[in-house]
Order: sequence, then C-alpha cells, then structure tokens
Amino acid sequence: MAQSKPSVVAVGLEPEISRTIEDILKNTQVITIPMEIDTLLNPVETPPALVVAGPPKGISANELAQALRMNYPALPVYLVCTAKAGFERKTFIKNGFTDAFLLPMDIANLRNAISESLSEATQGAIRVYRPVKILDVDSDSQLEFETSVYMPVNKKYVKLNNAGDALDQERVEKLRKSKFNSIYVPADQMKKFYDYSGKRLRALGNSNPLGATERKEKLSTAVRELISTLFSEQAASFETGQAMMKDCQEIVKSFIIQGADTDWYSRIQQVLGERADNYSHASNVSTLAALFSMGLGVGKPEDLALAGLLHDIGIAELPAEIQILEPEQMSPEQLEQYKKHPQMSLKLLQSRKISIPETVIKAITQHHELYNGTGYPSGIFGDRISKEAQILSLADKFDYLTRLKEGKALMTPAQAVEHLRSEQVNDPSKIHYNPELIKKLLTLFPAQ
Amino acid sequence: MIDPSTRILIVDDMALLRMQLVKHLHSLGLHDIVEASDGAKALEAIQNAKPNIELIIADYDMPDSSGMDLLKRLRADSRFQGTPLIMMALESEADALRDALKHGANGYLLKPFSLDILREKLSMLRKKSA
Repeated sequence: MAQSKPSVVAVGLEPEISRTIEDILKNTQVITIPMEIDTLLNPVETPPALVVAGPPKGISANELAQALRMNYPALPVYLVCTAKAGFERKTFIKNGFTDAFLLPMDIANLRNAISESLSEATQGAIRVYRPVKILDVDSDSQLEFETSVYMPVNKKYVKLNNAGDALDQERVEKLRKSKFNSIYVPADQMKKFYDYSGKRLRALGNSNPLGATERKEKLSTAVRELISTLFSEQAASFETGQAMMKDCQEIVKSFIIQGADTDWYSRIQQVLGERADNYSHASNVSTLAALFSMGLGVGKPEDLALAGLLHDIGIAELPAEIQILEPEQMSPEQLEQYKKHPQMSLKLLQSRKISIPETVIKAITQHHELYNGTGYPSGIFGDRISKEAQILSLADKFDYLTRLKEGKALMTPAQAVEHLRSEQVNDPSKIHYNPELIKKLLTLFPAQ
Repeated sequence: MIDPSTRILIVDDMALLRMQLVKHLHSLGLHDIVEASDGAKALEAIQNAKPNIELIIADYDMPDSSGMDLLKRLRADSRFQGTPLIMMALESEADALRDALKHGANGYLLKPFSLDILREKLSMLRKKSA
C-alpha cells in the first residue's frame, strides 16, 4: 500500500530557515502559507504532522500561538526565530507553542523536534532514533521497545532486539566493555523506554530516581533553559544576575556533582559517544571538567562545572554565519572574530550582572590558551594558564575527541587520552596540554 | 445544541481569536454574535444590548480588564446574575478556571479547543440550565 507523505505546514517561515531544514523535510509535503489573517483563519484541510511558524509579523507571538493551536489543536506547533531580541522561550511555551527555537544555536534541537514529530505522526514509518544509556537497560529482562546500536563508520543502525524480546546478554556485555555507552530506541517507542526505566529504578530501590538517560536529557534541557534566559534577560539587575547564578548552581549541584564521587567512571562514560549540539557540548564539558577536577585533584569541581556550562556562551554573540562553522572551515577573518569568544563569554556574563568567582572567570577566558603558548587570545604558556583553565581546555578537547562523528570510529576515554599523549610526545610543537595532567589522566583511564 | 437564535457575546483582546471563534460558532449555526475586546467594553455591550445577551464566552487573560473582572461584576449585578458565562483560558492558566467556576462561571474552555469540544461545552450548558 502506498503510504501518503506526511505534510508539514510552514507559516511565514523565512527562506533561509526553510533551507536549513530542507533535508529533514525532504520526505514530507511542505505546505507553505503566508502569515496573514486569511490563512490563519483557514486551516489546511488534510491535518498535517506538525506546524512550523516563523517569527510573528503584524501579530503578537501570543496571538499567533493561540490561533495556530486553535487551527491544529492536537499537533506540535514550533516557533523558529533568528533574532535574539524578544526571544523569550518560556513565554512562548506558556502562550501555547510546543517549543521555540532560536537559530542558529538551536538548530540541532529544532531538527530533533521536527524529526521526532514526523516519526510520531507516521507511527514510526519515518524512523528516528534517540540515544539511551546502556546502563539503563538490563540484558536479561524483556523489553517492550526495540534497540539498536549505531555504527558511525558505516553510518548504520544495527538492531539488537525486537520489541518484546530480551537483549542478548553476551552481546550487551561486549558493547558495555567496548566504547558503546549508548544504544538507540526508535523515537516513537521512547515512552515505553521511560516506563521501563522508571519501573526498573523503583524495583532497584534506587535513591536517585533519575536514570542515566534522563539525567543527561534533563541536564541538557536545563542548560538550554539557562542559556535562553541569559539571552532574553534584557534589563539585567543585581537580582536577576543573582537569580541566574542560583540557577547555574542548582544545575551543577543536582545534575553534575551529586553522586559523582561514587560513580566517577560511569559518569564519564555517560557523557561520551553521542552526537553533539551546543547544549550537550556545554553540559558535557561541564560534567567532564568537574569529573576531571575530582579525579585529578585540581581546583574545585563546582567551579569547573560552572565554567564548563558557560565557557562558550560568547559564541552566540558572533554573526550567525560564523556560528554554524567549525573553526577549520572559517576564513582567516572569521577565525579572528571567533577567537574573541572567550572574552565575549565573560562580557556577556558581566552585562547580565552575574558575579562569578575569579577562578571561573580565568577558566572561561583562558580555555583556548595552550600549554606551549600557541593558544588564544593571549598566547600565555605553561602554568601562567590557570589550573582551572588547563582542566577546562582538556575537558573541551576530550568532548570533541569522544563525541560521535559520522564516518569515524568512536574513541574510548583511554584512546582519547592516549591520542593526546602520543600527539604531544611525537611532535613537541603540539604540547597543548600540561604533560603532568595527561600523565595523571592516563592512570585514570587504563587502556584495555 | 443551544437555540440558534441565542445572542452570544465574545470577549477576547485578540482579534484573530475572536474571528476564529466566530467562525466556529457560525459553523454550529449560531449567527447572532457580538464582540468586545476587553471586560469593560463587554460590560458596556451587555448593558446596552437589545435584545439581551444570552451567553458570554470570555477570555480569562486580557491586558486591561480581564474575564475574571467581568465575571465578578456580572455576578454582583442583579440584572445579569443569571447570564451564562463560559471562561476560556490557556493550559498554563488552568488554575484560574477553577477560580472562575467558584465565582459563578457556567463552564470553561481550555485553549486550544476543537469545534467538537465547543459543541460539547455548549450542549452541556443547555442541559444545566434546562
């Protein structure tokens, strides 16, 4: 039977936004309508899978949200903006939007949301996978959801079990021992995973009600909310600055520090091996920096977690066309601008009247300085770089090395440290990190 | 369904949402519709309307004078104590609806609502008053 394509209603979407999500929408029928009274009063006849709206024009965001929701009551309605001014995610959601995305920083989140809605609308016919932590799944129990493992080299999902079957114990042990910390569940079956994970934790009498998967998701969401508040805060005052600092500390305490001392190695593993977006980069680096601080006995874990959360926020102040590039893709002029981001992060925090400890400021502003003095912005070297900045820059690199990259094999923590070590030993011009720290890290991640 | 000749007042500060609701009501066969953009204007319309307004559908959250203000004033006025009022609110304001019912609202509509829900709420209203 021929399956009809799901449709997506795009209301007043700017052409450059449409282009950035073209590939996700290629298997759908996109119905583009202008943002006008007439079109907003007349919903399209065949119910679409979801609605994506551009920034409100000639109408308030509240009115747009409510009108679209009235037209399509049961459907996700996403708002996509490109201007930071007036972007208030929390208010937009309160008004009725399912979620609101600020591009380019939220591009990965937008793509996830759209593809998951499409998967849901087609009952899984459009396949989308969500990562879950292997730690959250027992191999001997029957699972009501399908799981797969992702092979980045071949860009393929390989099925581990069908819904209703148990996982093969031996296979899972092998995965666990190797570099696979995440397995993948079809997005439309995630509810079954959460049910399973909740039951499992309760059965284990776990004092910590969050599974590893949920902890990571919640952390990433909290970071996204934090950063979006940071940008929407127009009139910064001492009080708003303090409130935001409290939010940061709350995130650090409940998602990063709590329980990390007893669970050190598995916490590191939970960070690794998934695709990165801006927020998971911030939360990963924050987690890694705090864990490195604990493991290496350098600095205070709380300080490093905070620095990790905030180290790259200055990037959002760069022009959009630079934000979407990796440094190696930038022109010399763009790279010059990009290199200002550590300072811009600090400036942004100051403008929001967020008072952070001096050690955290140093960690943020020096996180791209390198041990041999070839870093930026100041080119300082050796232990003139604060010890916190040395840890943060290691965590930053570590996240880069171990994240999932299409076409490349995953790196284990031990392989990542070994990579850093051998690079420095074989080429003295590449002594980017404190050799003492690398040596100590090697003892924390013995090669298998 | 309620009587097609029922005179209905819609109170919402957002023009587009009033238009959507009018459209819904039209498709339910209800055509005698008056509009107001806030609570104060609604009260004025109710007082001056001839023939009388027989049903009010008001938004809870409006910038100047809210649906709640309107409800309290009507229930305190012997002339309009009995005029049925349905309060509309967003999911995020659901608590306010309980408050509205306590203060004498005759029904509520959680936004967004479908045409079917609107039909259902209107028919429930009739059962209650019957």
